[in-house]
Amino acid sequence: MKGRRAWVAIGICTVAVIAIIGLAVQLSGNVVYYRTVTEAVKIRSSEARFRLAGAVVPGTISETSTGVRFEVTDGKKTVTINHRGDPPQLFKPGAPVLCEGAWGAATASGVAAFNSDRIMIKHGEQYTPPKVKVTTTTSLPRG
Amino acid sequence: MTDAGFVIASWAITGLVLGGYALRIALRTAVARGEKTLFKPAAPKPENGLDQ
Amino acid sequence: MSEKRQNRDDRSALLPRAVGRVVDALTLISIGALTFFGLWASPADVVQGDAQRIMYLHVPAAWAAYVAFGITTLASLLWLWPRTRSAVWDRVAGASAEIGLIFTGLTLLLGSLWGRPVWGVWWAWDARLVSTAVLFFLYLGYLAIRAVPAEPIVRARRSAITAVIVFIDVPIVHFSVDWWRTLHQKATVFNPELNPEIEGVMALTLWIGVVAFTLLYVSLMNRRYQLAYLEEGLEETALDAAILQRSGGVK
Repeated sequence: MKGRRAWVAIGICTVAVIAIIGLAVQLSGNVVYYRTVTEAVKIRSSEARFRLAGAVVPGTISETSTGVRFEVTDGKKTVTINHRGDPPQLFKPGAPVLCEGAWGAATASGVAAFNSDRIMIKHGEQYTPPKVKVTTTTSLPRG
Repeated sequence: MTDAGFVIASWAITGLVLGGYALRIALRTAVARGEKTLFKPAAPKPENGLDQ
Repeated sequence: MSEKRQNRDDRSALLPRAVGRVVDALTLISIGALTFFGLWASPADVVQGDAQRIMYLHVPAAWAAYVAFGITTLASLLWLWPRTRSAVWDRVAGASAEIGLIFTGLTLLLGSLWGRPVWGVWWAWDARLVSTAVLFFLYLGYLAIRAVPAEPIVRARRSAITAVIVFIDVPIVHFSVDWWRTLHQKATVFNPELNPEIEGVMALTLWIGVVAFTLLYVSLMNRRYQLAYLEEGLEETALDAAILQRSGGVK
């Protein structure tokens, strides 16, 4: 009886450790939570869904019939995002965003836009009261 | 819900979770000391008692 | 009977009575100060607005969970080392893990409440959030293992080994934001450069929160340890009673 309980305990520990290692491998090797704009344009022919990270380029936001269109940049490359639905509360020019979706078909001008259906705001680790003049409020490079 | 609503909710949930947990410890301690009983005592104690 | 209980009570506390009372008082004062600074005295963040105030609970709760699991691991190691082996360490480990689990659950709830207004989502399957959820279930499993009935020494050994194994996830949680790309921000205070990216009243409020939750941990720990001690006594009494009853039947 004592032996069996010990085996149960060891079994549970082993499963737990395998789960941790599995998690580590899965997250480090396979799951990339988001791609930068530069990485994203390299896979423009792909139809896969992924998250695209960049800063909203000021002056490019316009409302569409289904949502909002804007450009995001990582400082090197810039792409157009077609978003279906309402953007989140903190969405504004310069905001660092993650857009979830996939590349659309290439337009007449030859460049595909990214069709997004979910926007998340990726805020940085800096905190400042409103009166202080800040140079960077985002963790992502701006264009 | 507004930002203020989320902030109030966060304080309320913290109070409920931590307050509830502290209360649970206090109650279980009272039961363990014999100051409170949650269940009926199982059987009458044997004559020779437990104090020996 | 009551005299025996009183005896047990006196030996059961983790802290001397006076120290325990001082800790309790300081805990309440610091929680009051945290509420005042967090809700009124500190300014709203320039980017996040008022929603950022949730940080003053979320970060200290996560900190307290780290402390609690750290103590569980340390106590488990002290139990495993033959020279320091004592039932005290086993009780400390179990009590601290339960408190850590409460703080981890609270961290997840508060994070969700913060994420909705700021990120725009309640939950994200990124490395920080997933590894924290895993942490919650690992320690839930640890407490389940503790609950499996066994001889005290067998149970203590099994629990101590499990505690050391599951602690592996704590550094994974903390460094997940540096090792992988996450929606969750990187560390503001305990970052690799050890250069806090927060100043003034906001930083002060965060520190008050860390102090308040650390004191709260000590205060809860003092009580939870005593409960563990008293309940062990009950188990023994119940066992004595069963033996007495049985021997009484034979007589």
